[in-house]
Amino acid sequence: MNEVLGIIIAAIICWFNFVLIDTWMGLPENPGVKGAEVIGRAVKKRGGSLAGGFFQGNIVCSPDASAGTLLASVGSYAIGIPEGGLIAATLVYFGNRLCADPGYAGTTGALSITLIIYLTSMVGMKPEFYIVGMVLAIITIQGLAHPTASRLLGKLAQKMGRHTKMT
Amino acid sequence: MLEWINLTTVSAAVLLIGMVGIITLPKPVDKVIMLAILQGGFIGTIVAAKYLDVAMAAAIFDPIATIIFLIGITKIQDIRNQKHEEEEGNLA
Amino acid sequence: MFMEILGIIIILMALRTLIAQDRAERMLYLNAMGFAISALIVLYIQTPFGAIMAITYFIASTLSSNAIAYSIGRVKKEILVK
Repeated sequence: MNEVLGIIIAAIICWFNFVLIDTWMGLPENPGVKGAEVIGRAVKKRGGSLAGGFFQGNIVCSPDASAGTLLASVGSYAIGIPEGGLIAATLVYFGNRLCADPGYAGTTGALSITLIIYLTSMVGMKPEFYIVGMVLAIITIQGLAHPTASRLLGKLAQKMGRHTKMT
Repeated sequence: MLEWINLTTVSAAVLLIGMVGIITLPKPVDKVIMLAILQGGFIGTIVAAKYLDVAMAAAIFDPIATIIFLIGITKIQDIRNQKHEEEEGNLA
Repeated sequence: MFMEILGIIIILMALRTLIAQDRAERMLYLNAMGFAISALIVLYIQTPFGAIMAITYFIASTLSSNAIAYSIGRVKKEILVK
């Protein structure tokens, strides 16, 4: 498959994978650790939404489904297609417990992207497309414009019924 | 055109950016954040030379160094605030 | 092709961390740079131990980000270094 086309398709798949799983697991609803609340309030002060700020803060402060997506594709690239993803899921669970988080979002994201990589490897998508695509997907949330991205995430959280109750 | 971008040059650039940040930013917590960037460049430089076990040890010990710096910053601030309040109490 | 994209992203994120104004903004850029460095390490080494190394680096950098974000909330008025 063409490289540029593969990277773009992988970026879109990764974006939907980690955003949907993180929102479903309730990351925008409440800050799991204290640092996530600090980052969420700072994003709101600069003109963003509070739920999107909590989402970004939770990604910074503990390895969630975004880290699970990247590390499972890393493991699939260097170790092997099903077993590398499982090793990465175990290590993400340890990292989550070290950061005092429940740890369901990270392992769920890692297992689901392992399944997606296994299924799409039959049509010619290589795991390295997913590595670069995941970095491009996280840049659109954490690296370009934080207030705009947090408003988009807040709108998505409201649509899925996970908007925060804190003010 | 872009062949010069590999792990060695990128890590060197990140090291230089972290060094400039540590020197120029005035506040202590900003300095610690730039130290975290410098640690990323340092580990990249070791991996570019293929000393993977040394890089593993450096990656495990880096958060410990950061946490020790942060404990120092918060404790010094607490002690100075306490001293300030005691002096004001004596004056009153 | 992969390495060039990741290298440009890393240098861009490091420069944005240096010139950002707010302190929480710096933490978000730092996290994005950690993602890209971890991906570049595994594309450069390409062995199973390289993957374990990348995973360890990412989780360790997340731990230090957690500690820094916690103490941003605690340190209000700090002492400047003259």
